[in-house]
Amino acid sequence: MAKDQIDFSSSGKYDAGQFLGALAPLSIFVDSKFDITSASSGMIKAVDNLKSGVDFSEIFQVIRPKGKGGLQNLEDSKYFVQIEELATGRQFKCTKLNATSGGCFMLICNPIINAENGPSAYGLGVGDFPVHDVMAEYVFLLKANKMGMTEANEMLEKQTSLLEKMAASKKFYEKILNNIPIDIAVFDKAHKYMFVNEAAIQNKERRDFIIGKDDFDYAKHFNIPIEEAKRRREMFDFVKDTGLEKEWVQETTSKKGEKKSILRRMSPILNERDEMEMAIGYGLDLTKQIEQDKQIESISRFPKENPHPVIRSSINGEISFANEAAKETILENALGSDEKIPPQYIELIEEANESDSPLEKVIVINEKVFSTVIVKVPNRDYFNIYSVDITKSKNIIEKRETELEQARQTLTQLNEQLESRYEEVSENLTLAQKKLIEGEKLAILGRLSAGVAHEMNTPLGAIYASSENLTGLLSSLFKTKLKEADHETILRAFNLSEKFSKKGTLVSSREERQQVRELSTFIENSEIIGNHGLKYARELVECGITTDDADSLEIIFNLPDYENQIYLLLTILKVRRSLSTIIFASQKAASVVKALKSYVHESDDKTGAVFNIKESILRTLILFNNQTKHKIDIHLDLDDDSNILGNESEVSKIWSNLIANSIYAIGNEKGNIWIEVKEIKNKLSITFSNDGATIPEAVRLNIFEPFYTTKPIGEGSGMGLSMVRNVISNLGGTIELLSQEKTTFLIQIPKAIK
Amino acid sequence: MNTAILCVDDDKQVLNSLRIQLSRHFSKKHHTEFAQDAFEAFEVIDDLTKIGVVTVLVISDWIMPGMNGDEFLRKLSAKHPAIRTMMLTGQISGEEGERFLKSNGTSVIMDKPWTETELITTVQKLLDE
Repeated sequence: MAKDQIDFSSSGKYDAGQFLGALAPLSIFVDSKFDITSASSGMIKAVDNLKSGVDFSEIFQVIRPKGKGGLQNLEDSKYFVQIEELATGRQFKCTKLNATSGGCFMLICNPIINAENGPSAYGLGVGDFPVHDVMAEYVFLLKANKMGMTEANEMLEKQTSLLEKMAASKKFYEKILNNIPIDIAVFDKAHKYMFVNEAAIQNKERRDFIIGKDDFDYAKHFNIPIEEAKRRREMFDFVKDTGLEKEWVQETTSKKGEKKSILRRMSPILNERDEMEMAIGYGLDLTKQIEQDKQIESISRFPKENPHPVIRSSINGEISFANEAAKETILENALGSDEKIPPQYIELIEEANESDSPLEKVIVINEKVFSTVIVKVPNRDYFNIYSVDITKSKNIIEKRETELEQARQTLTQLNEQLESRYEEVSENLTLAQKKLIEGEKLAILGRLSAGVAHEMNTPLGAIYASSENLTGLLSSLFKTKLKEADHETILRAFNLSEKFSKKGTLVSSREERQQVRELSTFIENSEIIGNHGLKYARELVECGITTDDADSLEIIFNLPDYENQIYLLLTILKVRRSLSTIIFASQKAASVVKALKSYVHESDDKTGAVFNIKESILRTLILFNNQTKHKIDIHLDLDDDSNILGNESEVSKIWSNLIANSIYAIGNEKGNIWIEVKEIKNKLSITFSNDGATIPEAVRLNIFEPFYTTKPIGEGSGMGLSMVRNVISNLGGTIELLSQEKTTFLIQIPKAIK
Repeated sequence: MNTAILCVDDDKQVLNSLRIQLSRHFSKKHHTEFAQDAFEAFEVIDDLTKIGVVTVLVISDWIMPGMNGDEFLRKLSAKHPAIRTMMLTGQISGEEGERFLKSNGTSVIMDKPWTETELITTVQKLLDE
């Protein structure tokens, strides 16, 4: 057997491969010629014929990576390899670890377990499989093999013949261990170094020096402080006494000033009596790891491009990170040094520390305004401070606020102006409305004026004619008749005239002609009067004397001077008749004037007085007499007891508007107007109806609105019914348009209390 | 005395005035007769004709119940072309009124109110034609 070859079968579990196999229980060691140099116990157990010196390709073929094929693929693979046992077809996924030199490598194998091939197919138990934490597993397996190790030690002592082999084997695994970037050292019971790898002590001389010695020897020899040696001894003693593992962090500063944090662990290897036989120490340099982690985290959290300042600080204000933006804006010129945050933040950090949620504040640094959020990072003892420079936005906001305030003031001013304008406009409007109502009234008055003139003309004409007649009668009376008459005749004529004038004066001309015929017949047949009286018949009837007065007539005609008597009597009767005509005509004229006056009369007296509605309606009708008398029949049913309290001139506008509207609706046709006044429960219910054109449905809703009119331009202002409604509501009444075949307005006004 | 002047007006007051004024001036030459609407007027004319009285002049109001003055005078002229006519009105005046009424059967219009002189002069003129 060659010197550099190891016979696994003969060395068995004591082989160094066994020891190394503990690190990876399913592993194969291959040299540069692709010969198997060693294999771990698990692997030997699993694969037949696996022994030192066997060509790798005799037992396995490479499945992956796929490349040129054969063992070349194994060489090319940098990390992962999948191999298959030729004899059985079982496969392994392997991690390839290359030795630093010599072309040797190690395959850490994982059997591919599936439905066809379970763990038993590999002849393996659970304990044969590797676990993920290489270091922990290494320790675990060392423990598991403590018996083996004890025996190995004994064997080493006893079987010196095997030393050579051992050395070769040891050299190999040392090579492997030296390639692991973790400090590894193996101690005996006395804390003397049995092994130390290159990662722990780089210098080979020093490495060789320390074997069989302890840390104190080492420190003394190389003149380095013994503090760490003391600490390791304490830890070793603790592990030895308790059988437990111990971990600590070693902080060192190199001569160059580089700080280092090294995580150290001391693990005992116990025998069956739970006594420590060996201890394994290892160390992991955390410094690089921590810095890397920190950088990765910082960079990921605080990208360099972030234009907003970000600072990470401890609770005391020590900065562990600050991005470029923070350095430029907050930290430069700030009172705090480069490593301390500005004092403004300290309080906030304390506040944030007591709060569960992020703290939001606005602070001022270097005349700049920052909106700042301070976040307490969970499970860490530091705070992230995020700031956004809002100086500009704040200025803009302030500017906007000023502008807004100005705008608000302007608006207030405008409002005030508008209010005063509104009052002005509203006054004007009231005035205009008043004028319009006045206009409406005048428009009706205009339409009435022709009729009113006619109404006035007739009585005036009668008065005029009667007056002239009177003048003539009086002069003839005094110039002739009275001179020729004696006192007795005059007295008789006067008494008779008084008797006859008491009778009704106005009869129709048809009746009058009838009366003339009757009186003529009577006179003709009268023995006393005879034919000579016929010429008086007409004049007598005109003066109101008929056959009813036959007796008186016969007495007169029996008088010797009857002609004079009759003449005198007729003259006096004519005078009386003229006078009564004047009185009647004057009354009529006065009634027209009164109606007109009550229509146009303006009164500020809103309360008004008690007046009678029936009379008011009749008076108003006089104004329309001329428009209605020939074509419209007016049907009146008016209660006498119809007093209300109000301004009569105002109220007469109600009647005149409704009557004028009715006349307009009837137009040129013949028609009827019905007016009714009835008392219903202390209210006067007044209806105005007409059978003229009806009001279309579409118009009904709007007819009480001001300015609403369907009449042609110039014929109505549209204020009429609106005004009517105002007047009625001022009286505490209502008006509505009833839905009937003929247009009917129903007005209800409270009756005056007696 | 076999002639008559007929006055037609629905207002008895107007007729009274006309009676007083006309009879004072024409009572010795003409009877003065009265009617209160157009139909009665035709009756009166017929009655007068029966007793041998000729109606020489009709003075009519314009607006009257039943038949208005213009229509009445048109019909009257058609039936009795010899009778002179005259219209009294308070409604229409001026050139427009005259034009309207002349085209409707009469030649003379007198505004209400009238004066006695106006009336007598106009009537006299018509009777003299």
